[in-house]
Amino acid sequence: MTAMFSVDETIVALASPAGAGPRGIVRLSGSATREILSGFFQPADEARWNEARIPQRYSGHLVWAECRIPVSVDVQFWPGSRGYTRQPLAELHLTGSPPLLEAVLVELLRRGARAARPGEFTLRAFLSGQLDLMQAEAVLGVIDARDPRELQTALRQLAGRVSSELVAMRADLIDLLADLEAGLDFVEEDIEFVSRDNLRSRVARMAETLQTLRDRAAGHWQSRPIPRIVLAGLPNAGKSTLFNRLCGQSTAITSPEPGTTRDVLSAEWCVGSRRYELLDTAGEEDARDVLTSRMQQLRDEALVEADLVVWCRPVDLGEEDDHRDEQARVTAEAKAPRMLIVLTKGDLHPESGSQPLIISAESGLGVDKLARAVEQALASDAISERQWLGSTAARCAGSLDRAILALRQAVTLADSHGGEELLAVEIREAMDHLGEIVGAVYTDDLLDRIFSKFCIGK
Amino acid sequence: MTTYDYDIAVIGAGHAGCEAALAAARLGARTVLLTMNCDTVGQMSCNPAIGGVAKGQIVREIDALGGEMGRVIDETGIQFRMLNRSKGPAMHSPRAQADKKAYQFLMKRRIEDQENLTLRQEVVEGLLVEDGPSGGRRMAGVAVRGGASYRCRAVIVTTGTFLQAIMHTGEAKTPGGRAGDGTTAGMSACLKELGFELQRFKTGTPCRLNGRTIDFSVLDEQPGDDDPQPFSYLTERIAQTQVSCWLTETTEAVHELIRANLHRAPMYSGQIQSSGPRYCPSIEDKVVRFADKSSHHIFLEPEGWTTREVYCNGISTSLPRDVQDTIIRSIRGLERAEIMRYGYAVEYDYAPPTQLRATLETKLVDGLYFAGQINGTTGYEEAAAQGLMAGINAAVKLKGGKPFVLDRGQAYIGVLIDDLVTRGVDEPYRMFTSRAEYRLLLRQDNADRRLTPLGREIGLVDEQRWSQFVRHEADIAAATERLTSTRHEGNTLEEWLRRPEVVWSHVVEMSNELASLAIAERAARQVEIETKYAGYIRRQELEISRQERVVGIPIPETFNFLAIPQLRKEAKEKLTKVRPRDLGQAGRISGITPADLTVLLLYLKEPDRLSSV
Repeated sequence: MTAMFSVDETIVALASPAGAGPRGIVRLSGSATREILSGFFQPADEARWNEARIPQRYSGHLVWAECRIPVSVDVQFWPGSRGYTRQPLAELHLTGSPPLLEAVLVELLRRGARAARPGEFTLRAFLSGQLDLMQAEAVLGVIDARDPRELQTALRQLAGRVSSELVAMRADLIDLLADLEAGLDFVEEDIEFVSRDNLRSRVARMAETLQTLRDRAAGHWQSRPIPRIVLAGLPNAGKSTLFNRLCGQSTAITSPEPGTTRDVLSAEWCVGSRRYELLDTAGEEDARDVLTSRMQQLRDEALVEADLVVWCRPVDLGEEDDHRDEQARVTAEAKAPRMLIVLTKGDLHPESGSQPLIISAESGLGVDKLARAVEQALASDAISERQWLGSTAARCAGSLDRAILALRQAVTLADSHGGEELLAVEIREAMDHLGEIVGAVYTDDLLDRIFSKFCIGK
Repeated sequence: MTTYDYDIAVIGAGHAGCEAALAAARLGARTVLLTMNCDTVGQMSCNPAIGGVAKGQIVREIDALGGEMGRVIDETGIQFRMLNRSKGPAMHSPRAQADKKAYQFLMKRRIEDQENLTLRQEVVEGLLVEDGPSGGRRMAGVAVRGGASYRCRAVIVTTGTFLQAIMHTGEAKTPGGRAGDGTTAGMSACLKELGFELQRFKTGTPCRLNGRTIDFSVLDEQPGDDDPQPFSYLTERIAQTQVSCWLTETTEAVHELIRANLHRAPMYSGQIQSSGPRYCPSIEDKVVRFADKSSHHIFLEPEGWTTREVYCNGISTSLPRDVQDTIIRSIRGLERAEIMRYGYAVEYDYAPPTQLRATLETKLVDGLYFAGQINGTTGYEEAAAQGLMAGINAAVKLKGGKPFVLDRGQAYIGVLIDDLVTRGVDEPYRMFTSRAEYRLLLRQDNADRRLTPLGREIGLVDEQRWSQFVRHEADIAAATERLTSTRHEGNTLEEWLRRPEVVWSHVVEMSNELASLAIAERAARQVEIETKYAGYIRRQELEISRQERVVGIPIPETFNFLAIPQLRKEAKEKLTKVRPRDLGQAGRISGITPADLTVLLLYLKEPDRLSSV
């Protein structure tokens, strides 16, 4: 947990706003900056790069195994202590393709960089005297606000459903370690020790499960190129009509019958230069059969992964429906990161104009207002957050990889009759890495397991 | 009124008190050791054994620093075993049965022989404090029964289980911290008056039998090791003959009996409310919590060469006498056994150790130290280690020296004290190897290499120990040099030795030069272990140095956590309570997050800003 203060490790993060843009910047800082780049970055003028003493810009290509075509890049390199962090620092300027930036980030991690924690570049700048406390406090404000609910959101969005499985995995690892440690610490007790075969197969199984999770999660760990907005509300709240209005097409079938939309529909909504991914969902209703329950599930997933949920509520709701709407909205809000409420079907009651966001998809009333509200809601802290989420994702992936490595090492040890105390080192390391994703590790957890499981004490 | 004048007073002459007093006196402080009874100095109130997994390592560390416990058990042990021999060297743990009386008499003799140290029988009635120059309070002395007092600048309290102690056997309750002894009632009130928080713990002990009435012929024998290994680095070899322990077990019938009488067990009748150690459960606890186990081991451990008394390890109990009698008679080999002392549970006050600094000095009163069971620990070894550290720190502070604190990567003693003062305790604390992050480094075979140079620097390591240590290091250096420089069939000897199937004698055969060095056995063994563990040792050393750079940033004692607006309320409260000495300790407090540490770090780097908020 204290690793965040180590200024010796070389850290990396996306420095440009996430999402598609003309260019993307990956920032790398720490004593090993040059070593990490060497071999990966192939400068056009090799001699000049090798003798770099002063901050300069270098053109060249990135070349690595996962990518068949060399990627054109400009590297701004501060070899000494004149960069922002007062350590060797490099900025990789690339085209702003999110998958490409993601891949470069992953490759730098593989080469020994560590994903920067939120505010870590700023922290280094502060520690080296580049920033004063007032500036640093601004960063702190960000860190404060994001813990821990924001972390939850990040994990929910990026790790998707993986994080809960990781929590379970970590519990399994503690169980395994408890078995192992009990045999080491309580040698005089009449407890049955776990056998080498049993141990080996459990570790191997966990390494495999983790690898499967890692592979499955890879998709969730891509940053999305454009913000995702989800339309939600009770059945027949006019979501699909609004959807069609905003996207300028009739992708969604609309009818006055409730429950017309049975699937999640997706289309692009363009407002001037801005683009959003717009999702239309089935209305909130009780699951009556397999089909409706599957629909609810899809909708829930969409809510969780949304950047913004627009809750549609018809202006003309009766008292009973009004109550149902409120209940459903509260439930949905708990799942969604941000919510905007709009009153739809404004054409039915055009005179109740005191409400800020009354829209009519039929007449186009309020649609401009909605676009501005959406822009505002996403702009508030969206950029920095998404950037942060991006590094969270890379960090999760890195931690998972290291956990898998440690478990594989444990399997090798088990096969080669390595000592149990060495196996324990590897399993602890795997646990620590999982802990970096899902929470801290305390020794007491372990003793609790041992004491509840075994009868200890002569 | 008589007044005596000393530098340091130690209250209580158990395992903590003895080490504390010896260390303080050896460092030149005029020390008095006060005990309620000069006949119970260094007494083993419970199990007549020293060492065990993790505990044996602690005894080696105490010895490496110049403590007494290792040497005394080496001379008075009646059975020596190296536990965990089938595991790697980091897990090897020495343990010995003691001749209980011989042990305590020899410890008493060492105290009596020590210059600068007075052993005195007194009942302490109060602590005398005065206002310190810098505003707080500081120790001034100790008041004892009979109108006398001892003036001194430091006091080490090592009162064990004797604070407000009550013993329970079934429905019967007796005041006292140990069978046959009383309790120190005045001390608890005095500590509370000084502002200390006190809590209650419970622990227990089994009955003792008369060996003449045990049928050993039907029991399983557990002999000592053929090559008994000493605890002290100064002991050449263990010469005395060893005795065996014996093994029997409980049966379903015994468990039935216990279940039928649970309502008469103080832990279950509600007579005892405080919590006891989970790793040392009473037999009632075992039967209730592990109902599916049909049998539990009982180790019958002789208490000495000159007595027939036998300790029943494994069936600690506070059931009534008649139930204890029936239980014993229902066990194989004990059908006609006679109980000499009945088992009992004892409840006592302890002072939550988060009230201490890492030197074991209290935060409330300057010059007042707590060590041993009063800090919520169990075990003679844990107590002795704290006593040693408190004794050293009290003496060093009087001489104006720097605090002597061991890190978690240096010693189990460091892990022990850091856990106590940082996390506190919620059950009696015992050491386990799993509590140590750097277990592969904290081995029983290298405690001298880790700590003897530090002991020398402080002044506890004498000429004899030091010259022996220097010889050992020279041997290791010579052997290591030879291993890396000599090749055999293309590989260095070091590379050969790293192979699992190759041992020291093999590489000696590969090189005449290595053979001619005639490396001492213990040094050769050390080189072998370091070579075979090399990869993991390097990994853990790397981890330690990484942590040190990061976490060594000190937090001033006067630092005001409440004044940091960005800290969460919970973090402010916890940090204020523990008052960590550096960022690393702050990070080990449960519930402190990395974000809290970042905030803290920023303010530590620019303390001027803090005064302006």
